Amino acid sequence: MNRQHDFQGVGSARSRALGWMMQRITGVALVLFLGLHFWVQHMPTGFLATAEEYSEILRRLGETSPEFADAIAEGKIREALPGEHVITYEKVLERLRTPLWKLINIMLLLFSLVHGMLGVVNVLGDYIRHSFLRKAAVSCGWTAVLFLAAQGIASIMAVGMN
Amino acid sequence: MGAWLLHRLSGLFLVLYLVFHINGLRALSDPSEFEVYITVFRSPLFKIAEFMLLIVAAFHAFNGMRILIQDMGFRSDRQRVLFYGVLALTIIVVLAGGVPIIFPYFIAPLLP
Ligand code: HEM
Repeated sequence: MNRQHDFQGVGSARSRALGWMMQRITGVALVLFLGLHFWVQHMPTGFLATAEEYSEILRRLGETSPEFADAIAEGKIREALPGEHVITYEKVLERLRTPLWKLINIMLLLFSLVHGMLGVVNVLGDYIRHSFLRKAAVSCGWTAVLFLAAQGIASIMAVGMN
Repeated sequence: MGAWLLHRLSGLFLVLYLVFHINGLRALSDPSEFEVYITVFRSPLFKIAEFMLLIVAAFHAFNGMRILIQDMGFRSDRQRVLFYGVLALTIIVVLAGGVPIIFPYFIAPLLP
């Protein structure tokens, strides 16, 4: 069915051109946002806790809450190795308290979801020949994107709210 | 052809990872759960996974930029050169960014 019209189910020529353009725009944006994200969360900078800072944070948390003390005693929360830099709630909170960082992270979330899904639509278009199946798969995908966007934004907004 | 397949596989891998990652962020609603969650990602095995994630992401990013440059009309007989450029930049970024990630776990213990 519809063997000749290979692109049916991935939208009109116009929406495909728009998708193609959006994939490129979001790709360029991701260089910036993903680069920043990597710098902040994976590199040894002041955005993470040093081993000494983390030790101090754990000592303080252990004193204030039995829940923390238990998790530390059970090894579910571990001290940092010498020279290790650790992502920790306190540092995340410090950053995400500012609206600009919240916005930056929401942009990263949305750009990566849209870029990834546009890519998946393209891949689905290449492998699913049946146009109805293709439409169904693409719809499921965008539904998942909406759900993940909502959940991700909720997680970002929740920081500092309790 | 090879570059195209690698770009597709790396992109799909990143999408899969993104889904897990967004799910994990729910731990942010509870500070002690977040510390536990992060501790899991600080095991040696996960540090290697983090290093591999960097390889995949860096390759996809630089190869994506190559595709953008070529779409903008860069001469096609330079394709191979551009792809070697992508590989070189990927290796540079993986070394510059990856070594600090694994250093406390795998390199520092080897030092006298
Ligand atoms: C870091 C910057 C990034 C850049 C510059 C970039 C660039 C690109 C470009 C230009 C394309 C289109 C390729 C084509 O049409 O031939 C593409 C495809 C794709 N990207 Fe990215 N990307 C980036 C990050 C990501 C991330 C974070 C994800 C995951 C969420 C992702 C997932 C995909 C997927 C699934 C495809 C489709 C592959 C295909 O059609 O074969 N990309 N990327």
